[in-house]
Amino acid sequence: MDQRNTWTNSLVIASAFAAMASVIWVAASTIVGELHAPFKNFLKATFTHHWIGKGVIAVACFLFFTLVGTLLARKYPSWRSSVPLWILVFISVVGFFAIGGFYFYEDFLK
Amino acid sequence: MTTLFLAMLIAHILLGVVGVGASYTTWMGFLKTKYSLRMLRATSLIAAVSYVLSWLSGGYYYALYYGTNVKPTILAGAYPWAHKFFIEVKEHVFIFLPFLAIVALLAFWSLDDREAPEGSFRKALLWLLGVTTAIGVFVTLSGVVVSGAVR
Repeated sequence: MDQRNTWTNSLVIASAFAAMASVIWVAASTIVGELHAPFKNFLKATFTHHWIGKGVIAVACFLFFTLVGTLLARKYPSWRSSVPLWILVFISVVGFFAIGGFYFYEDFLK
Repeated sequence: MTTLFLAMLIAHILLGVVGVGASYTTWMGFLKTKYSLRMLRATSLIAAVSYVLSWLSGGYYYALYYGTNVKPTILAGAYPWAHKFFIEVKEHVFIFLPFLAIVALLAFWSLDDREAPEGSFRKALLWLLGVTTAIGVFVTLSGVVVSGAVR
């Protein structure tokens, strides 16, 4: 009997975790960049534009965690793909409101 | 504006709208009791590819043209919040979309034609599609607000 998770299921689990990492990175780097100018300047100096830097690192995060996560998830056949999907939904909603709420506060309430 | 920047802006808008439409179609299609997995795989693929291409074309326009030519006009106009709030939020939450769409695409490709998906997996995937569509609609409407503010 095969004691490994299937490749397709492992890929879904890993990509969901990888997407979480990318979403967290984008939300965190956006807010930190606005509050701490040297960080935003570092991204700009390294990638020509802070937004390009955020995107490039988000893609790198996604590819890295998808690759490593797929190999890891293969070893655990009991892992279900629904759990990381639920967490990804939660993280995405929180990330959306964190960015939206931050700029709303900065532009309209501060 | 050069023809290339104009083409990139139009491609960004059209591909973005196609992406949101494809996400919505996938969401509605998967809500049905009897759905076509082949169609869901196709629409989720269209969504993922559209978001990636819209990101690239919009990014080219945004990084090389918008900041020096459009942004100052908006900030000096009657609606500076169109940039300060809507563009700032739009440009960042847009980055979520390609990743969410790729996860949904992989999820549909992992499903078996002959077997119904587990209840929790189906619900989570439906929520993922709904959140992707909602963020896509917000991004699209933000683009409309910015277009209005620059005139």
